[in-house]
Amino acid sequence: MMRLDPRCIAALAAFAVIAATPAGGWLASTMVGHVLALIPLLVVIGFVLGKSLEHRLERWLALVNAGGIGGVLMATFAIAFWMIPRWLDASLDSTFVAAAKYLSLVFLAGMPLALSWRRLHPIARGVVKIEFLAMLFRMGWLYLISPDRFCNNYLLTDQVWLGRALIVVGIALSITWLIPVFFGEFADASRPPERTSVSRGGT
Amino acid sequence: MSKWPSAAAAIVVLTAGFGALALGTDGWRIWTAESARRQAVIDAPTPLPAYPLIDSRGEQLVLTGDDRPLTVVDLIYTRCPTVCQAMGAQFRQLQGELAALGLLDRVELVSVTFDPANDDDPALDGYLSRFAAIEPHWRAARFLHDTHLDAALDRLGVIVIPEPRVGFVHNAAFYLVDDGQVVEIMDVDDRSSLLESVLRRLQEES
Repeated sequence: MMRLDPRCIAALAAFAVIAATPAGGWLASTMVGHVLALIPLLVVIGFVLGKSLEHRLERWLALVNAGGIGGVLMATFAIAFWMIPRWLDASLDSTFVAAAKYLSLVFLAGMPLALSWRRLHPIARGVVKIEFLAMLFRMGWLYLISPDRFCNNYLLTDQVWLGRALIVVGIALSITWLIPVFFGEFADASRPPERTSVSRGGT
Repeated sequence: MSKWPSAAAAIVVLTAGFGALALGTDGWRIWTAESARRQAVIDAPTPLPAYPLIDSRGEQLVLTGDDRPLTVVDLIYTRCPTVCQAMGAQFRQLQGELAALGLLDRVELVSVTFDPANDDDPALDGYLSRFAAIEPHWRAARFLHDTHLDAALDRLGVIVIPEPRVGFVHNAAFYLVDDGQVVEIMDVDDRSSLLESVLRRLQEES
């Protein structure tokens, strides 16, 4: 008997609420809501869905997604595509494009990310995180300084607000990801070199 | 277990990903909806719907009608404090340049309002006189039927956002209309390219 994981049910319910009620449209009514709430939410839904399925897919994942590179690349491209202003704009004007956005962010971004992150080498994880932070700052800066609107559906002031919000999220995430360096496992890992330097001094 | 299937899968994803981004930007060229709609009319001129307009002097016109001169259209609302003023000033200068070249009667300028609730005949007349328009070569008009407005904006890819302080925000542009088709959509601050296109098309016609 197949038993449905509660995480899976919760993710599907959240997806139904966003896709079938005005909630999705409401989130997309501002540029900040669209980029920093709706899109991340869809990715998270996909992530949860992926996590709930991961144990069923272990053997297949070991075959085609060993090391998690393919999955992370897929998620990166899917997210990058919806960062193109043309398609963000189009998803507000066409139901077809909107459906493509919903499905791709869940199944081509969130889900492969869940099925890859644990497999990814810690150094590769660091690279992905750094690049993600850099993207937040680059886009935030671009939106802050651009005198032109990138989306016909959003006001210039909306774009500036998104710029500010991206920078704030970038700073907040940088701090969050830095904490383990000082207090977590990495902090412990940094002790041995101190001892080496002492012993070197002794010889 | 062999790493090759995973490596192959990653390469497939990489190729498909770059392919999708390249397709989605027409080969890394078109990043915004605005440039997409401008490129679209260059690739294939957009036929205008045959909706009747009525100008501020009560005269009807249809942009797709027979024997229409080359027409430059802009979409305005007369209460606009910013970009429509700039467009009006550009039209005024364009008309001056056309007059100097003796081409006044070969090019028609039409300013169409998308705010018919406020833009009645006196308002449109006021707009024309504010920019010393030479009538009838520059006319201000609105759609005879309000329902046609939304359909026309939709067809042209114009998105109007109500904004409390200034009234409306819209992707303003000049539309070059030849034989009832939009053949070019141009920046409102690039009058020299507009004049260049107008002159080129007039030359091709004669």
